[in-house]
Amino acid sequence: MAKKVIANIKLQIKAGKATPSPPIGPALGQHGVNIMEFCKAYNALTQNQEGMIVPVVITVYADRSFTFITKTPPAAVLLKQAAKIAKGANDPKREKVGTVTNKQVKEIAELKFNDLNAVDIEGAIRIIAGTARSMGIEIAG
Amino acid sequence: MEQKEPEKWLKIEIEAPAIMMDALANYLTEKGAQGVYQETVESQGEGDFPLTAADETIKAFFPEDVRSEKRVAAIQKYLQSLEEIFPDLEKASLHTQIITDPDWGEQWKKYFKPVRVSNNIIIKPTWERYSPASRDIVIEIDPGMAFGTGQHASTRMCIEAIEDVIMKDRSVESWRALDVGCGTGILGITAAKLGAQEVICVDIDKKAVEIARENAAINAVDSRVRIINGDATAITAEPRNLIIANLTAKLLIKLSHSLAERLLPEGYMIISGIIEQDIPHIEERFLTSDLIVQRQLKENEWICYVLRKKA
Repeated sequence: MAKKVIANIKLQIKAGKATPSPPIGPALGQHGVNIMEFCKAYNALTQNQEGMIVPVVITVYADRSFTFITKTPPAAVLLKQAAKIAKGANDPKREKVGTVTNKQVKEIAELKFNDLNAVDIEGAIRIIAGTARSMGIEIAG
Repeated sequence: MEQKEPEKWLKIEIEAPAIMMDALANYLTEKGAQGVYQETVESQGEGDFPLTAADETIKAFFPEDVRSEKRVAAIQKYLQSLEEIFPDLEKASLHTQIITDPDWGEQWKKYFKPVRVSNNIIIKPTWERYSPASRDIVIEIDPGMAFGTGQHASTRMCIEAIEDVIMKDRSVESWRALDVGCGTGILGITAAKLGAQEVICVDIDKKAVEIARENAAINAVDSRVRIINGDATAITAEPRNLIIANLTAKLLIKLSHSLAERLLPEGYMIISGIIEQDIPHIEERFLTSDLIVQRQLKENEWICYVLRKKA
């Protein structure tokens, strides 16, 4: 019999740098998860990716034990890398901070496909393109 | 960890269409949040995920300070810009909350119960009752916000290894232990409780050092356990015959030379916090001409080594 799940938490945090401060403390603490145990495990697993944001999905069970899986870097981070920019726009409607190609968007969509709520690759491309527009990144040929 | 935590936090919650989530996460992080999270809380039923809603909520925390107002204004402006980009989608809504007395470090304590971690060793939170059997060695821990409660496989295996080493090798008259990255002090205290005469614990985290000192006192071993703020390289005491390091593979590799240097011939070194994928790197670095594997413990994906230095 599977253990009863009480919550799923998706965190975007920096690899190898988990501490009990927010957001980890409040995100896990409220569900009764031993925060330091999570930090230890996450840091051990992501120690070689320092500097990257490595999202993690944590499943918390009724007895407060937990499991987690790490995910591919967020689309926004991959888009910034592809466009070679450090930051997205503050006003993406009017401000254009960089450009990515359709090919790059497709590559990111393929890489992120399993983590995205998309039925097919076209749906995944639409999601990534939406993220790019929301960051002031233009998509060109 | 050196940074002092602010007393007050600004919590920002944004409910928005799912397609905006990744960009919002990025924006909030760029504005200074140390990370963001989303959660789905299971209402009932087993295993089934709730249907994905079109709208999701993302949460971020910022230190509450003079910049808060500007931050919120910038985020609002960003949301307006998103609305213009996606005029057909639901509007995003933003909620802020000031959190003055965070107690997120306390909640899990309700679920921390006395646990038997090896043949004779029981780890007991200070606030729980436990009636020990005659041979039980009870270690009391108030973890505060430091690592080491015996709930984690890497800690449990270290405790088992310490017990095994100290109980079995009767040729050693006086155990001089070093616990590197001591956290709550649980491992150094375990060594002392098992009879080690002189234990040095180090941690780079000042908070952990305070917590470890309190725990050593609670267990009445503070006369034999010295707790120092610093890293392993700061230890200039005479070499040890027992070194315990429950860290990460990366840190262990970085410290491998310092650790080996501080170990006496025929001394034991217990290294833990290693996940399976790091075995080759660890073995390449630690299994030198001087050190041999005495024992390897494994629990789930976690590995703990008991190494021994040649005579």
